[in-house]
Amino acid sequence: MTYKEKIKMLAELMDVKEDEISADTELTDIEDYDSMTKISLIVLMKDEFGVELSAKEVKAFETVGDILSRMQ
Amino acid sequence: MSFLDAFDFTGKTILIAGASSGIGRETAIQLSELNSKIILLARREKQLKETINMLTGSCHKFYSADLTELDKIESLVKMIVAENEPLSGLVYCAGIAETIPLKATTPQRSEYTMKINCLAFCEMVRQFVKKGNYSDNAKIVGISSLAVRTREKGKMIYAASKSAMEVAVQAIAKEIAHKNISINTIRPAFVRTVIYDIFVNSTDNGYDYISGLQPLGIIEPYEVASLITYLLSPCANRISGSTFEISAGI
Repeated sequence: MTYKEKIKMLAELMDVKEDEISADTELTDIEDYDSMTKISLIVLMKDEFGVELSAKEVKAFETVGDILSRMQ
Repeated sequence: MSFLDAFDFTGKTILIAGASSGIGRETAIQLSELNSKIILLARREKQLKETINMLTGSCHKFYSADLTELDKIESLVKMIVAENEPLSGLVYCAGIAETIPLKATTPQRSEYTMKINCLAFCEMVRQFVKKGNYSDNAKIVGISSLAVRTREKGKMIYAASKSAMEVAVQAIAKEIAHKNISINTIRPAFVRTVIYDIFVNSTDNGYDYISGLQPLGIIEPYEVASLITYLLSPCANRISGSTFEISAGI
């Protein structure tokens, strides 16, 4: 999956436009990054990348780039 | 019949779907202690073998099957009855309890949840109540969830599937009453199972979160199994189409 495709996926998850987020975007600046989005992220990572994220790992994410680094 | 005699399951054969862990496994253990013959059904053979080793007595059997293959349930039940005897009871504990927020829900996931939590149950019941498959005063118990009432975020399809199961049971109860078969559901809140352990271990405050949610604490699997046992006993001959909550004070 390309960088652009990953950003598209996360933008959809966080209910923002693709050009509104990049690797540097702070997650606290994204209005829709709430508990349900975090659970959705866990589901999506497992389904799309086979990555099992723990709640602790999700809690530690600070930027969109932190999430991107686990999407492989 | 004395009260204690009602809980002697000698000569009875109970089919438990979803017997590889949690409530299903505990129910199998409890009923085997009361002299019932248990037929275990689940997808994971390894866990089924583990469960069968925990049972009292040696007459028990297990069958490995994927219940989401709805059109194979008919031949499965037929085979189970042919290789054993007509069934005195069916306990349906199979299913999944994932938290899937609306935005992470896909048509495929929704379909899978509805299938395993509701449609497979209905198909199991349809086959169970066919002449020759059940014995007199047979009983069916389905495991629902308190999510039907609490309807928490992320439980859309899960709560919907369990609601569908409960409503189906109310209609089925009326259809099968003339066969002397009763059917009921149980709605437990959070139960201490493998899913619970994973949740608690993967979060900083999982235990506190659930303890805060349930004033009477986490439900133990044997507590749910005990109610299942009661509903399978002659004490419950005239209870049908009902839902029983184990709410832990919620």
